[in-house]
Amino acid sequence: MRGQKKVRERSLTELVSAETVERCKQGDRAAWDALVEATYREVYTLCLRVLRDEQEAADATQDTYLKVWRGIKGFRGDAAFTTWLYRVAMNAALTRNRGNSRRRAIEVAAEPEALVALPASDSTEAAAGARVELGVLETALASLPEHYRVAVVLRDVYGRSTAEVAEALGISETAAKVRVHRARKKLKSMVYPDDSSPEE
Amino acid sequence: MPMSCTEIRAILPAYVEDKASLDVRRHLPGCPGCSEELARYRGLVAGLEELGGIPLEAPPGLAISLAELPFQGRPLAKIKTHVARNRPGYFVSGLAALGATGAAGAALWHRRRGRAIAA
Repeated sequence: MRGQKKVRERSLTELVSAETVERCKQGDRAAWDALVEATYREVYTLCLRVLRDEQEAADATQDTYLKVWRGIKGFRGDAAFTTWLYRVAMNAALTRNRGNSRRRAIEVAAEPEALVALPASDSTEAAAGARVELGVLETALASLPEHYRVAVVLRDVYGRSTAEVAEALGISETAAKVRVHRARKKLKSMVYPDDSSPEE
Repeated sequence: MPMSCTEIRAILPAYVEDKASLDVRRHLPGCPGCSEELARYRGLVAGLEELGGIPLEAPPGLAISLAELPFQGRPLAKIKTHVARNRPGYFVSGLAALGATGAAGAALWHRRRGRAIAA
């Protein structure tokens, strides 16, 4: 299941070539434009899924690209550029999440075109699982309590390890696991209305 | 002693990921209800992973402001955001400043008028 994260990062990496990153280090404006154009939707989406506030997400996206621009000269390419970008974005979103209590809940729906274009998963586990409507899932995710939502977004949507989730949230690995498991349980009861299993 | 369905279902959110429980593995083949429950968790986790590959719609103009961000003296969009957010505060402060100026002006006018009458 965790393999899909690698597929996503690889497809982004193809859009942000090593040459583009190198040109950005030299201050090349066209290369920076290309880098932003290739990645900003994913970065904004990550921030929005953590923050659930469009303005906050846009601000966190700006924080991300400012940090990337300031730090790109020191980026040595030990890890994939997009891995670093995701990490910066995650930290920017979590910093705003911690620091700002003014938040308004919004209903977010996934882009219909993207949902239509989504290929059917061919993984064995997905085939053995019950198919979930992604629009319903996105809405359910948005209505989860914040501490559950952030944990499950990092773990299941963006494939971060339990250790990374724990570190990002400043909690123990056990606490991170518990949050993710409870989030899955709540999500299941929201996605399957006929669900009769007891909630925690 | 074998675990009950309630006990098994309580650990399925973890099992869907690590499959470490021998009790669950023993229980599932003979229990269609718990097997269906596990299938739902698998579908859920697979769906969440798929969501990670689907970008949501970003606000218009965001890409342009991000592209311009490093090439301007100060991040203009940030300033605009700050002003937009604090508009009510600026309005109230402006009104207060206007009121204070008016009151000071009126006091000065009254004082001068009093002196003129006295003279």
